[in-house]
Amino acid sequence: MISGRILILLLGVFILTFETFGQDHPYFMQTEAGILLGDSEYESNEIFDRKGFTFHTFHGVHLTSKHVLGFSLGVDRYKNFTVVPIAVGWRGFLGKKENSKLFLAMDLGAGGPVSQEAFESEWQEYRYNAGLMFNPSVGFRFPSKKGKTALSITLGYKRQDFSFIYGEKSRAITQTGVSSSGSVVPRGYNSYSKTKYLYHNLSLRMGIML
Amino acid sequence: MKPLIRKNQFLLIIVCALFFGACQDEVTSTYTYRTMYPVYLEMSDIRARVYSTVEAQPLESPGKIYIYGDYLLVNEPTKGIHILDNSNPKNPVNLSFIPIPGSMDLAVNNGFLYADNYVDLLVFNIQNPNNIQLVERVEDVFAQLYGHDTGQIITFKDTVITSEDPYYGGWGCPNCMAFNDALSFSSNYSAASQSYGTGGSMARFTLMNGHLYTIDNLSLRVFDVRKAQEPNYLKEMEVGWGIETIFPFQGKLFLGSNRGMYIYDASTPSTPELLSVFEHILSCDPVVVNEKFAFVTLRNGNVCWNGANELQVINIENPSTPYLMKSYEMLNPHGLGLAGDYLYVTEGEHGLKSFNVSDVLKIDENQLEFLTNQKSVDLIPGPKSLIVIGPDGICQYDYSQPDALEKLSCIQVEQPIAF
Repeated sequence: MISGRILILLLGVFILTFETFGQDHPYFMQTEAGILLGDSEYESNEIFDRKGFTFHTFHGVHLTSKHVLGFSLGVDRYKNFTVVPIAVGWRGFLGKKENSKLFLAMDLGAGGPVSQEAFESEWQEYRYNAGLMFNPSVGFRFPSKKGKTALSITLGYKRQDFSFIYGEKSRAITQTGVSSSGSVVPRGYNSYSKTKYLYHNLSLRMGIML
Repeated sequence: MKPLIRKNQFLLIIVCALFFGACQDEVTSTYTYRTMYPVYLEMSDIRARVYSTVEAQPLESPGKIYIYGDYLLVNEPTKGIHILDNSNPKNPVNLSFIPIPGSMDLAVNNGFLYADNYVDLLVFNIQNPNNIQLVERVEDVFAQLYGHDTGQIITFKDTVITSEDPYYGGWGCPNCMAFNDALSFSSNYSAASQSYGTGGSMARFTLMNGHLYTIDNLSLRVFDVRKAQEPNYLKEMEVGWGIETIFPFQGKLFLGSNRGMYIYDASTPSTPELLSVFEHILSCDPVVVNEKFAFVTLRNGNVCWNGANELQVINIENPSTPYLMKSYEMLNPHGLGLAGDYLYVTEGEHGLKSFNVSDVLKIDENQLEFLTNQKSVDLIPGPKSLIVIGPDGICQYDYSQPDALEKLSCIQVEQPIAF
């Protein structure tokens, strides 16, 4: 589940960007689909090649002819999770010509598993917490002969983390407990576990630009 | 024709791909849990220590509170006793601390403080709170703590452990036991956070008619303390399983247990005699009493998690035949206190309630206040203020108007980390 605060922050940045630049600066869109590649480990310590579908749509405005600022939304499929990252993004076009083909991209935001419900009862609690998404990439665009659309191909690195929290509640009133390593059992809980997932992906996507 | 991609741009892409693609996913789990590990102690080492006041210490997990004149004595379970100057309830001042390992309870008799020190009972002269002296040690009276074969004391220390192993009581700590709410010193307020006096309901030490009565899980012990500085241990009486609280009233002792309330006639103080037992379902139950009624809270928690959450009113006009008048649903009631016609009930994490109990059959209709932000486990209606003990600290209220409790002060517990 994606943190509400992060979502509100990103929406705020998005709205501010359009409010500030939208009227004088042309709209830019990039929508792509592709594949995420990575190395994961089974519980048996065996390494396997991870492959997953990825979809990404970026909407922004040209700050200058070479720079675009905007907002992106994605869907990434991992082995057991479908993650929806939301991010602010930048696109920068290299070269001197107006219609340069090489561009750099950077998306920074947060994402967490969707369709994983949080649960809380008087005995236990579990939930997923969203984590950082970081996606620098480099791409090429192949403009169509007529019109403004272009085919785009991007290759990048995508880092995605999130965590799973599981707590067993105490029947007694307990104080916050801190272990020697600094980990915390919150008040009212007997145990608290945290599993951190960190995915390193090579992302390869293809789509269109407008 | 100009190439689509220049050579250096192509290299950049390859380097990026190789660099980022080389990393492997990481999945790491940490399990942080409360546990209890055994501590073995030799009483000779414990007795060899110096017992005198040190500088004031922050409150960590306040237990039983005792009012002595303008002073508050606050037990820090297993660690010692805080001395606070409470001459102004709006501004209590933490004066000093008496380190007493194994201390769980206290009582004060004519300027002499009784405190347990594992198996021993200690007597301190506190007539001058600025010059507290240990004057007597009564040895081996709480002998249930001795290990059967070694003669060592075995006690369990609450701790928090982090591991990558989900197993409780862990392989890394073979003698540890899973955290037990009932045995924990830091969490079990029925064992560690008691009070004493006319308002206290969760006491395990209590004084009446020149005698000190102490209870543990199974038994009642009697000390003759007519010479306050020289307690004379008289006897141990087996009472029953799950004894939690003791409340003295007009020559009788009311013992709250997991299974019911025991009434002892202590008109011969050295030899209390069982008058009656009022049994109920398995639950935890502090007791307060007036001439006609006993007010008992039954709590769903700790060892008694099958129990109900209720306030029961028991008619004790004839102490040999107590009977239930009425029970009222509560949230998670802990200690309670009676001041005239007004009853104050601590509702654990849910808050603090006050009732007018002049009509015991309509208590639910006469709830006066419910302070939901005052988490509380026990209280004492003191001469200057209502003293409320909770996981956040010790708060005092002006309760001259029971329907409009006014907060005077709070001494906050030092929290390890705000979560």
